[in-house]
Formats: sequence, structure tokens, C-alpha cells
Amino acid sequence: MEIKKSVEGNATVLALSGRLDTITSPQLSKELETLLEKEAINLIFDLSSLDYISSSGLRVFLSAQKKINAMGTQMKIRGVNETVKEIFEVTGFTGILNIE
Amino acid sequence: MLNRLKVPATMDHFEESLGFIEERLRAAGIDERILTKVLTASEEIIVNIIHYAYQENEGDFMIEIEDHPDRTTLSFSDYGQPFDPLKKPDADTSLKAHEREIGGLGILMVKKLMDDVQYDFSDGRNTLTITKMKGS
Repeated sequence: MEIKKSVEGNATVLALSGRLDTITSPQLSKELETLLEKEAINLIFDLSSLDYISSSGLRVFLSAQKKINAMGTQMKIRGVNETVKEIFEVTGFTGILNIE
Repeated sequence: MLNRLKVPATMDHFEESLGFIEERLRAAGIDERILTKVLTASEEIIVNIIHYAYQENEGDFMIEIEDHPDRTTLSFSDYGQPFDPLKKPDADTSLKAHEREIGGLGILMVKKLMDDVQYDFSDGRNTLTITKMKGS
């Protein structure tokens, strides 16, 4: 998995590509920890190039959303493909995350 | 075609076992969307076996793939402690973020993505069998 970081207006954009699975989730988790401990930021996840997500990936999104809620900032997820969208739906994550 | 793999239940063999499933199902010409679902479900099952089946001890797990014209069936088995993942109540998907728990998501994904999931324990062996219909 690759994580590309950029800035869009007042938000930090993380574009993920490849597979967010058991092996790669800790990488994203670490990246978020570093990002969120510095300051309260708005986050956008761009998943247009993400092929696959496992429950360990979902846990990283859940934990990020909890931190964002606690900070009172915003988190958005965009560019979700059909397969990843189905995973968000069946696990009820569409009700927790702000998915465009 | 040999559709059976037996490897030690450690994370060192995680990618090998998932790669084995992907390679065999691609060779069988399975539809890409179904393949992704089967791989997602398989990852959850394999990770569970690796983390919990043998606790501190060592042991192997087995994967068997059966590809039929109308369906694909995979069984995952181990000789670890008896554990029926289907007995656990499903994670409550209606809760808000702060109420959601971290656990229980994996098996929920397996049940939702597959058309049939069966657990069996016999002769000291746990077997979880998942089936995906090709038309679904």
C-alpha cells in the first residue's frame, strides 16, 4: 500500500493505493498517529486507488473517526470503489463514516 | 491440480497462504469481484487462526479449495482449541462511532460476503467452510 499526502484547502488529504490489510494497516495507523498528535486537522481519505480493505483497515478508520470526533474537526472519505463500498455497507460503517 | 496447502500458523505464512488462494482461483478463471470477496473473507479467517488457534503453541493450518461451475468452496482447518466463530453474536452495526467496538468485524464480514459459512469440529479438528455462489 502507498500513502500519498497532500493539502487541500484546510484539510490534509491521504490518498491510499493498493491493499489496506493486516500487513499494511499498521502503516496507516502510524501515519495517522503522527498527523493527529500534532494538531487538530480536517482529514480527507481518497480511496480511488484502494483495491481492498480488511477488518484491520476498518479499525484504523474507526479509530481515526473517534479521534476526529473528539477534536471536533471533520473527516471525509471519497473515491470509494464498489468492493470497498460494500465492505463499508455490510459492516455498518456507512453510518459512522462520512462517505461521499 | 493440487488445491490444498498446509503451512505453520504464523504471520510469516500469511501472505503465502492468501497468495495461494488468489493464484488457484485466478487459474480457475474466477470473476474478479467474487475473487476480492473470497480473498477478503479468507484473510479474516486466516488471521483468526494465526492469532488464536494455537495460543502459545505451534501448529499448522490447512486450506482446501474446491472450484465448481456454480460455486467456489474453501475450507480452513486447524488442530487448535475448538472455536466456533459462528456462535459469537454479530457486531452491532447500528451503533455510533464512539459505541462501536473493535472486535467481531472480521467474522461479520465473512458471513456477509459469503453465501454460506459452516463450522465443524471433529477428531480434534476445527473446520470453517465458506461458499460463494458464482452468480451472486
